[in-house]
Amino acid sequence: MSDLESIEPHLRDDVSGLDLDADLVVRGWPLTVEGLLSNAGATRERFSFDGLPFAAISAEITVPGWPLDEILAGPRLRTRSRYATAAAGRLADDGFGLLPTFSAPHYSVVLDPYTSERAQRLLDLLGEVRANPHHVRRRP
Amino acid sequence: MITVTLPADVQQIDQTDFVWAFLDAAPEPGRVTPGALIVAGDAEEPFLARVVDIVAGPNGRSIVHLDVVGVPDQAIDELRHAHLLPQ
Repeated sequence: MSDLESIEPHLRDDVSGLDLDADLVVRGWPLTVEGLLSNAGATRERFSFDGLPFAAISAEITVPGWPLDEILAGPRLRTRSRYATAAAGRLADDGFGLLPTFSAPHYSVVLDPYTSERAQRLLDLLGEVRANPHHVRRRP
Repeated sequence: MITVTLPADVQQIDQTDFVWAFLDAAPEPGRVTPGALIVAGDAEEPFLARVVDIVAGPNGRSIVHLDVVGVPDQAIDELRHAHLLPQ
């Protein structure tokens, strides 16, 4: 564990700009427990937070300057046919930590404990799976 | 059955702004080399990416940075258009 890279230097200071009621956490397909655990597992095998393995899921949040359409049409999310969202406050109220990591609008959704039950809870909060209107599809 | 060259999460970026994944997750790591165009992600919805670089990670593991290019269908369309694949 001592070899893990600290996440702290990669935290942005824009957390105060998060509107818990209006800002949406965006997560693309695959929206599965296995997928979330795989993502969080890789993160905790590379990064630490406060000296402990950092189990967190990568997501994007509609912070100022990053409307939902722009996120969904971005180079990464446009490869996802489907996505789900939840108000940031809904996740925070359920105890999910939301840390602004790396470049905006990327956030880390802390998965604590790192269990399939907690991953399922996040999926439940993300709710309805929607089609991404900006998904790059094969030309007809 | 779809086999991805490197399992990865398309939303998982690091300080380089590129998507990253552990090289040891690749079934055939030799296919993952800087500059290579690979199919990454998961079998259900893979994405096409260019390998940017491979750097040292924790505990002796290697980290691969990926520049997301699009989806494999886009490459197939282009190759068909160029008659490099059957119509």
